[in-house]
Amino acid sequence: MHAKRLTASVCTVLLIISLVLSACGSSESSQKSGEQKLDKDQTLNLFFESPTTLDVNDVRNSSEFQLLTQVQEGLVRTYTDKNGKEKIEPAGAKSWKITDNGKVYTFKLRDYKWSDGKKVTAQNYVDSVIRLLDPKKAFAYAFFAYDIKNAEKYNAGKAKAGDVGVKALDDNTLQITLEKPTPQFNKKFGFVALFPIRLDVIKKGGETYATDYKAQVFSGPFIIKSWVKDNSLVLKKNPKYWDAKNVHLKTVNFKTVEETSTQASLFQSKQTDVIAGTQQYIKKWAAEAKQGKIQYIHGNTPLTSYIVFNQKTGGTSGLLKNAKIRQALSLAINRQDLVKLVFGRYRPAYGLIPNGIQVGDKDYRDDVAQPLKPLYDKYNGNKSELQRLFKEGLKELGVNKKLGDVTLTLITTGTDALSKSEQEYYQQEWEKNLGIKVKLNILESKLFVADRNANKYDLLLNGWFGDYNDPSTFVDMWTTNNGFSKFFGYYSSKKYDQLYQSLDGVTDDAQREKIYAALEKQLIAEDAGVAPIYYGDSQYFVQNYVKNISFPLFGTPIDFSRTYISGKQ
Amino acid sequence: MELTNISFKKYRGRRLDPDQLAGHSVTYWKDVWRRIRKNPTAVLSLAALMIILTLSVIGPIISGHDLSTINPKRANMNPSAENWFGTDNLGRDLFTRVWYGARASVIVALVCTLIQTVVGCLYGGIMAHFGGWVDEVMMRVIELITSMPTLLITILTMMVLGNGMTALLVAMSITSWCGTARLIRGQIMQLRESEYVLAAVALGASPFWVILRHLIPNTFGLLMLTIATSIPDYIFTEAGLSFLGIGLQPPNTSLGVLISIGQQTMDFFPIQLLFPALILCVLVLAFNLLGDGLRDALDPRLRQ
Amino acid sequence: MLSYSIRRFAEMILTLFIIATATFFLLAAVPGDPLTERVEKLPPQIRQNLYEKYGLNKPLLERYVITMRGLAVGNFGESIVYPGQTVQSILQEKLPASARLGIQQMVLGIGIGMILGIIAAMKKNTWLDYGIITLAILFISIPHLIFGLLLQKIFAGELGWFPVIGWPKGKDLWTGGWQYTILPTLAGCFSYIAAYSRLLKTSMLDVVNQEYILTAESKGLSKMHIVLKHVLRNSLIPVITNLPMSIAMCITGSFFIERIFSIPGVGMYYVLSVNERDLPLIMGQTVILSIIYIVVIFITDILYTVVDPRISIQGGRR
Repeated sequence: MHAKRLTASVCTVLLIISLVLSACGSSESSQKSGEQKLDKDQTLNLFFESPTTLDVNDVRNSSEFQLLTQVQEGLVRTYTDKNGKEKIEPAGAKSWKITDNGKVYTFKLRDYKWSDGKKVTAQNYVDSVIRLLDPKKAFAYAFFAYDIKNAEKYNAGKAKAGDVGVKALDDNTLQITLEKPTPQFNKKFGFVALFPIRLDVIKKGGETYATDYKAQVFSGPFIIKSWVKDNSLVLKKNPKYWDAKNVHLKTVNFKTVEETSTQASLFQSKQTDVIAGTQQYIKKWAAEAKQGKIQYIHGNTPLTSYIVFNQKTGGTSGLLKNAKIRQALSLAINRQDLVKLVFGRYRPAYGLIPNGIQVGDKDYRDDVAQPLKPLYDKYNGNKSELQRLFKEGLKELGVNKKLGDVTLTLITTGTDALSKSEQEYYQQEWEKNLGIKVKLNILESKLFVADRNANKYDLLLNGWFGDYNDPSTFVDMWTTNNGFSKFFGYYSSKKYDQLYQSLDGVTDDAQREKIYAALEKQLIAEDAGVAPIYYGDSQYFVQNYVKNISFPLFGTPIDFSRTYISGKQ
Repeated sequence: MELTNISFKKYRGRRLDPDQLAGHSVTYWKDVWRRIRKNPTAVLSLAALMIILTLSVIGPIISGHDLSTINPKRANMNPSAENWFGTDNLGRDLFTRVWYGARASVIVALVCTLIQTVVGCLYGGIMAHFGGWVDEVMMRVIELITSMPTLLITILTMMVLGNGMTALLVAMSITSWCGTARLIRGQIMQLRESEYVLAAVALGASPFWVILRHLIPNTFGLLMLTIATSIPDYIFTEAGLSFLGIGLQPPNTSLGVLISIGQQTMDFFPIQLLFPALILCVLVLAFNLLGDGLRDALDPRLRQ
Repeated sequence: MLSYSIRRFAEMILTLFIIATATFFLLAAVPGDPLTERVEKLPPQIRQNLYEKYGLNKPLLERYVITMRGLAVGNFGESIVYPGQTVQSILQEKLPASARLGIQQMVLGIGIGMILGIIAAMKKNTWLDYGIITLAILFISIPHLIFGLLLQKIFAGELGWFPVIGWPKGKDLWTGGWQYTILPTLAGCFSYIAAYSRLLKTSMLDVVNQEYILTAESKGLSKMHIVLKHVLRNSLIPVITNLPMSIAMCITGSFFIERIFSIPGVGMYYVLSVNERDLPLIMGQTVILSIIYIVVIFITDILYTVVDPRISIQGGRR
């Protein structure tokens, strides 16, 4: 039951999260409100997990992204069109220009107001960036602003707040200067952690600011009306919102519902308007969608799930430092069967970077073949070949052991039935194909952290949920001594590091794509530093009367700021 | 005439044949057994229990499938000649899994009950035997444990000990013995004051003999009852913990684990929930009904 | 009576002290703390700041003293996971739901249970008696979770007679929104039915054998009159003395039913705070739940002497 509290950026457990987090897709009807007749009752009912904070700088998991993007307004807002293509539209910013070879961003802000009537100023944005980077505050997403000049230094306590490259030129003009030209910043500045803040309100709110909705001021399309923690939350339309005339929903009800079958009952009886499909429900509802009873919105999600190998100590068995052994473990998993049997969704993964991630405006996966696929096809589940590979690894290590005497430990956190099926599947695949023994250790999340930090594992399950639409969000964390390496088995490779270095200052998209492909191949195929298992996807079912709803790839799972209800009665 | 200690002298002659003193307890048990046999529900539940226990031993053997082999081509099958209870989402034989799970559930319940009974009897016996401040202090300990929320203690114990069979057994029986100890203490104290024990002591029976011949048989009925009602409690607790993800680790399974898995697919494959849930219910029901029959049989007020 | 109450009060304080101590050290023995996941990606300096802020870097014994000092003055401290939330505010928010659910289950369950118990006793050893007792046992042999799910599936999902989830709030908190409460109440009332029907049956059979009932019978009073006037009244002692315990159990919430029907109650919250190692919250909830339990035991003891004059308080322990 714990996965829901984890961060969106580092999904320590993905399996459950992914159902909640999944994003992207298209709405059948795009922006054409006004053409259709609106119902009298403009209420939207959704599921959610209770957020832990209302502080935009402190944002960590998807339920917070979901809520904060709808009650606050950042520089831009992302909608999706019919084909699931994202469309970034100006929101808090009216327009912006990029100068100095991509190093300086200058934003013209819109005239818009907080819910207490005060104007949103450029200084509010500046305050937000500075507070996000404040070393004393220790916000998890501080690293996200590292592209900005002197940001990393300030966050490390090596520069002053005044040195950070963010300035309010006047009330309506915000200027951000980057450390060096970074093309992907273009896709990052709409991020929740960079939303404007009000220092006076935060100060007045004191210790309880982050969790007391009554202490907040809002700049977005909705305001929070009531909140019962871990149970329900109600939003009301914000009458002071700059585009209030295009916000049609009057009330949005969020409810926490634990059991999948209960969620299904609620959706089928139209007591809930949007649901993420799982397993058999997808088939059932997709058939209903074909008959036009409901809308089926599906697409990619920037998520790759991994099996992580302990390369720091070689694990409790001491074997995981060997590339051939890792390769054998990676190739022994039949991913196609897994996604079909266990999940009933997702795509088998033979690479690092999932579908839907773009370099510039081209899909990376359309251009680059998955590096593990040829190797996987070569072995094709052949037991004796896989076992030979594993034995070669043992020989290289000088370990004189029969396969039957090898025991590997897999630690995970998922305790629900779905995760259990997945874990048992891996266990069976390794035991069947490699003839080794695998011990499953399913732990409560804090115990998991303890075992992982003490290196009491050979294998663990993890995954990565991209933060912005560029492959760099997937390749960044594999460099030696990266802050994230303890979550991913301390992969370390000189070749990978060198390749990564060569990215520095490269702004040409084709050139970047080549380097990303080389990095991916090195990590997944050559070194088998991690085993990719599946790519996420989004499978949303929406009632017919819900119009103009967006499922962006990044940030919030659902954007309903311009949604309206038509034809429910 | 006033009776004082002086009025009686301890008998110092030849020891009497103890069986002459204790002859009655045998007929008492015969009577209990006779009345259980006359209670149709009790007999029926006894029979049901026997069948379930037998199947949980031989079920996995006769099914011809093993517990954990995944068969992608036979996922989510309905019951058939090949898989008598159908298969689960990974194509594993449910008949094997259900009986294997029933076995685990019963073993967990039995071992926990055993721990509870042994610890409870020892603790209660010591309390009753020593009395005085020992009794007072030991009673306070029980009161302390019972006033703490059980769920908290169970979960925390599991976290300290880690998941697995041993931890599960400890966590589930860590608080449950208190009731048994209290019961035994009360019963022994009551019996000690009873006329026939006084008579036996007066007739020169050794303390050992008194315990063996009088205290144990007379608390036995009560113990049987506690055992019969504790087992279903443990089966439930184990199932409940499975939902919280606490307990046995795969590939091991239990009825609780199977139910929590089946529950997720019940809209599509109700059979995967039905079989484990049905067996759990029958198992618990049989124990409960047997306990109820036993209660009636042991209750002198209901004697006809 | 006064000196007895004072002694009992002192004992209660001591018990609470030991419970708090035990909880504290048990929690300290469990790996992980409320900040474990939060500080994972943070630089050491910031990590240390956070630990300092919540006093988690202090030695165990010092933390123990601070916690106990807080408890002594009724200050349980703030949640670490939800900054700004206190034990008081959480209980204020969650206890009413759990309490209402528990009370409804109890009232319905005990009511039905007593009626069934009377019938079973009057028709002793008939098929009606066996039927009632067997039925009661049958229902407690179905796990709450499955029973709740079935009720929800059939009566809310398929038939649509009731809302699938939810709980009354605002002005409906205690007396309105009945349609929400019916299924959860039904799902949890059977343990009371089973327990109380059996309790009343045994106790009535006990009373029936007493001399004064024989006297009443020999006087030629009608059976109904005897049952209502004499038997029932005297059989209620075990029921009354069992009540406080049921009350103590019922308001602490039912995890599974709260989970299935998304009821904002304490049962579910308690499990969550244990998982999060939210020390102040766990300590606070444990102590408050224990206080409820201990006070209830105290009331039970007093009740015993009130309803049954043969038992005197000075007579020592039960």
